[in-house]
Amino acid sequence: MTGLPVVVFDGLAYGMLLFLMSVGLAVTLGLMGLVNLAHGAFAAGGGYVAALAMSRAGVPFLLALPLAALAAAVGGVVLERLLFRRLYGRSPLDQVLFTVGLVYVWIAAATAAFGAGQQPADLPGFLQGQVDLGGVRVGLYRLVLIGLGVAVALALALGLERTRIGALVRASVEDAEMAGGVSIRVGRLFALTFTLGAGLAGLGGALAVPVLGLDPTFPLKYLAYFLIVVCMGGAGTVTGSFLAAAAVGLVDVAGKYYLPEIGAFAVYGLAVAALVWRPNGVLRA
Amino acid sequence: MSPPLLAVEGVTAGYGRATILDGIDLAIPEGGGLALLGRNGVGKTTLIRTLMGLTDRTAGRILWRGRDVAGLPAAERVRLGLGWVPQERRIFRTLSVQENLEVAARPGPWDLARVYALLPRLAERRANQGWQLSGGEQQLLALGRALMLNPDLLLLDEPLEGLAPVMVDVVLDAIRELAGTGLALVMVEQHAADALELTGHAVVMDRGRIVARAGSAALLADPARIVELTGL
Ligand SMILES: Nc1ncnc2c1ncn2[C@@H]1O[C@H](COP(=O)(O)OP(=O)(O)O)[C@@H](O)[C@H]1O
Ligand SMILES: [Mg+2]
Repeated sequence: MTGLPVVVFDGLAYGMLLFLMSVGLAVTLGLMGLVNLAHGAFAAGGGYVAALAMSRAGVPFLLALPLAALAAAVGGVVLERLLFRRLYGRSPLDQVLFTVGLVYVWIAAATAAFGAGQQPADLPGFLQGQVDLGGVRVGLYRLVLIGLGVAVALALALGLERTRIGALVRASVEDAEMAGGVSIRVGRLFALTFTLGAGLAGLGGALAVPVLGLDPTFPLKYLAYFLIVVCMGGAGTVTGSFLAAAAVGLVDVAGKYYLPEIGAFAVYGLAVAALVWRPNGVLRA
Repeated sequence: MSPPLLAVEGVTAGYGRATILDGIDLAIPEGGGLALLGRNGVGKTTLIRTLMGLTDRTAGRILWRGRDVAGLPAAERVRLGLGWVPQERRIFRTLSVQENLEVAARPGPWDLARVYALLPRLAERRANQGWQLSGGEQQLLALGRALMLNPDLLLLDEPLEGLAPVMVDVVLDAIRELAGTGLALVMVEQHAADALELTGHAVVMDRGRIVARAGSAALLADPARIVELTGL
């Protein structure tokens, strides 16, 4: 059992990446009922911005991260105004077909632009190595990821619970028509949260490159994980997404570590169990 | 002569392909009150929703102080001065009472303090979540929330429906006080007398049309005529 602490930290770190990359999807699904299967493209886009900025322009890692978030957010606001808002109120089938199509457009475009191979992304020296936590040696970068994930989750939860704009978002998630009836411009609010979600996905994508690697198929490869996080967590909830992402990360890493032959399926077992237990998300009894 | 606060001209509307309202004409002056009467299912709620821009309108104009607002979404109409208290109340169940009021806040004389002064029960419940309120308290909150919008015209869709008698009095007193401040209102009510007492004019609807118009006081004095017109 010497591996247990390592598995826990690896799993949580992976979970935090999943959280950053999927929380925007959870919120937009809750707010406007948009099933955006292309959400992972914002993560991949952020990853490419960071990887290329570092490898081609020599931008330091810590600067590449906000750059990635910003680029993904700009991409988010532009695509929301041009494409995604046309999908609000359409049938889930229309949304699924359209956004799956977008994923393939992304893959083809990224392959043409950057090649089909993996992007190199080495961690800077000061983020490599291990730290000693009371006798347990843990990868420093894993620890940073966990800290960042928790910090972002706290900031989002506080923003949602304690600010006026958070209350406007919650009201709109609960009843968009009535929100309009009390003067809330739900469309603008949605563009704003969509942009924030895309930016966070970009940040998560950039952080993920040194851990998960990056090639053009990234949005497709992790799509099932994003969807499991959103379904388990429940649409529209930050806390639910956080808990679900942590659980998915832990179970996936533990499954592959302890049961190498079948471990890849552990996360699907978790998803089925969670959906049987709480079909509307882990926080909704 | 300045245009009326709200004018509805030949409006036909419904849900998708189902046409419910057929050629509705109405005018409400600044500060005026209109009772909207009629049996269940004749289209009163649909008319209110049409004023808010929440149905599919296929013909006619809706003029706000002379400006055609028929193409505007609900949020923009509300910003011009419409306030809506829906029949189902539709308070935000996952927001606290105070948040329900705050999300609706628009500039004007109505603010938290004034709403709490008019409806003290809401002040007591300010920290409770919407889902924790009784039906009557939800109605008070829906009314207070609409006031936070600082409307010039309040649309009240059966505000007394399903309330306990004490709560009916609380809500009626509040609406009476509002009418006294010169706030224009449209009041849908099954108990015609309550709506007639608070308004200057009345219209009776049947199957999506307006079938009668009368002064509220005259109608109030002639209960037999109310029964004849509304079947109630
Ligand atoms: N969302 C809807 N979709 C289709 N038809 C509806 C809808 N809401 C109401 N209706 C129909 O519109 C008619 C008028 O309903 P409504 O406006 O609620 O009447 P009232 O408020 O006078 O009781 C009814 O026949 C009702 O079945
Ligand atoms: Mg009705």
